[in-house]
Amino acid sequence: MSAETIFTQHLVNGLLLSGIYGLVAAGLTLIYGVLEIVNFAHGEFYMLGAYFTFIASAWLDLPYYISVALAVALSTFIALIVERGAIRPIVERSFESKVLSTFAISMILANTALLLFTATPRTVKTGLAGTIEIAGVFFSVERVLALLTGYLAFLALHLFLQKTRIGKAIRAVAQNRDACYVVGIDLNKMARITFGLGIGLAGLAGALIAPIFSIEPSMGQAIVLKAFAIVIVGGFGSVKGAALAALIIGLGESLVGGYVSATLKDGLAFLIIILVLILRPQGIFGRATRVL
Amino acid sequence: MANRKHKAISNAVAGAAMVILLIIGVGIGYVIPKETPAAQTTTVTNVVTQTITQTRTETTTVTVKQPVTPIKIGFSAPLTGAGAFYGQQALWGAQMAVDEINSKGGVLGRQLTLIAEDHRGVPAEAVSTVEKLINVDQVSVIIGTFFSSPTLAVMPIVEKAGVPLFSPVSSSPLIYSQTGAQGNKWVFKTNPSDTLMVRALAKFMFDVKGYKSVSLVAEDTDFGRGIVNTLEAEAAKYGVNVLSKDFVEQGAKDFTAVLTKIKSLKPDVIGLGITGTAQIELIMKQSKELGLKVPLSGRYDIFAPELKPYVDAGEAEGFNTVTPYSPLYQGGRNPDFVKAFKARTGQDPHWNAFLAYECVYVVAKAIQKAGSDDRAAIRNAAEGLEYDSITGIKLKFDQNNHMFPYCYIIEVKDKQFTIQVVETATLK
Repeated sequence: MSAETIFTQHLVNGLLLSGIYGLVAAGLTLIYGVLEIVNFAHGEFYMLGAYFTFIASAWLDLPYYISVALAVALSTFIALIVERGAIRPIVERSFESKVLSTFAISMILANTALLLFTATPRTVKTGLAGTIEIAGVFFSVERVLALLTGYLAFLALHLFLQKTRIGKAIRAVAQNRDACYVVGIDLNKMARITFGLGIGLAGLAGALIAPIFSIEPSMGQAIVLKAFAIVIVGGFGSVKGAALAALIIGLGESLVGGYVSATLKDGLAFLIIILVLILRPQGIFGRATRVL
Repeated sequence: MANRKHKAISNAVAGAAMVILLIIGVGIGYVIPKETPAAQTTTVTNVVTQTITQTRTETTTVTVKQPVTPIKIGFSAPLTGAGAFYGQQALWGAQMAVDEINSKGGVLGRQLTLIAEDHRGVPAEAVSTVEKLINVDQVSVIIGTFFSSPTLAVMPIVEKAGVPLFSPVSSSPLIYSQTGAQGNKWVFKTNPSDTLMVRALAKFMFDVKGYKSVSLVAEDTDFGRGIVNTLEAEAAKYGVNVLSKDFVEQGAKDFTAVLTKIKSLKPDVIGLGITGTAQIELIMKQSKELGLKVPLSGRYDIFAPELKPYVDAGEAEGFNTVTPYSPLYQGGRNPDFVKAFKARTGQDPHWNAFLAYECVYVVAKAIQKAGSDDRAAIRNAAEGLEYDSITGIKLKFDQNNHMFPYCYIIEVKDKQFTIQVVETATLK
């Protein structure tokens, strides 16, 4: 097996994971752009998406694609309740209130899941497990599916923000809140839609990762740190930046894990943060705080 | 004004909805049947009290006649988390021994009570469980902690508090080099160390199977690093090439980078040092997805339920490992033990169950010899204690508080596990 094939395989491995990273980070950055809230509970919604998929496919025996749809719908539904009860009351409050509120949501969700499902890792079987070989490079079917779904969701999000009235309104809120009041954009409504949308993306990421990795209640804490790293590298509030940063970190981790050391793999994202903060503190695509 | 009132009402409604959702969620948690005992100590205590009540009903007359307090044995294990399967098996094994002893009248005419605590495999939590067992429950002796890093973390604590710790599963050489005459007189080891077991395995791998090259993958814990160090040293002795050496986070999920690298190196075998059963499944799944076909060896759980489908499908042919126990062993009274355990739990005993089971008997014997439940008296009695294992071997604590029971080389052949018994005392 040639060195080129191995290198390509490492790139493919990284590419397939970057889709998941991108989805989680895109939701996080979107919510920050519009609500100016750093959502510490974001990882827990990703965990919820995975567990809803597990319940639907393992306990209720539903087909995988229906489980995914159900997981996205249910996590969005919970997000809307949480938005009404714990986000809207603190949108105009101080930065500390926002941090504490989302941190509390994170703890409540993670510990409720621990109580419900225990810390025992679970797996989701899709019936799609398998692999495709192209010129010595292997593509896991489940991972390719996750990547494609992830990028489709990204495309849909991009079109929604660029082409629809609501999408334009959301971008307007991110650019100038006061002007939105003047032209009569309903800020509460935009905040609600954005939060639901962002969480829906996290839920989708969780649903897509469920069959690839084992799932457990603490899985959200690990991904949210990486998502923060991606959002900081990409620039807070920039969806495009999040997508690019996810790709850089996904590929970087795969190459470091393969050629340097598996122990260093998880440190890479944070090393990149340090570099970005020194060289370009606003992030790659960062322009103050704005969506796109 | 009306608007503000409206806002206050809808805020209250949303708040109430969240509380209700939480209550429903928690409610479901109690209704949903669980395969494994739940997180938190609540359910764990349930399990314990349940079994105790069962025993009480069986021996009602005895209990009524003897209103003496039971002897408390502390038990710290990973009952949830990545090691949940092991912790559950260990608790079943220990409880079975306690029930057997109690049904025969207990020790010194007193019943034994097992107080189980969950440390989730986290060293810091193991420390809290052991401190609780020592200070709150006032146990006479502790059995635990089943994982190496947690055991290493609690060793100084039991030494300082003067509580004997009987450790039946943790196998890191770091533990063995500190016990008995070497320093910590309060810790007793009833299972063979990784040094001895890996020595036995290396002979099988490099001599019998004739592997010429190996790639090592282990979790970044005391257990994993111990396995890699020993395997590396053994490989050097046999003149075998170690092609790569990788440490992954405990509970890691993505092994593709390491496995892709191994694929390019083409070793004869992969030497593992991994505890989690979910991790073994992920390694198998990802190897398959990457088209990597190299047999697994080293220390991992070849009997894990997650690995069963691969064994049945013939995808684990030639996989081998060394274990401190196997239900397949036909010597001594082991077949009876396997049958009784299966009747009780519906599952085959894992080595965690067997080692915990035997450890309770060792503890009971030490209490018997001490003639009291005093912590120091039990420790003194345990020094040099002799014990007849149900596997048919005579065991004795040496000056370092180590026992040398059998270990077993397991290999998958024709979708079946084959077994070879090795005497660990000869490997010293």
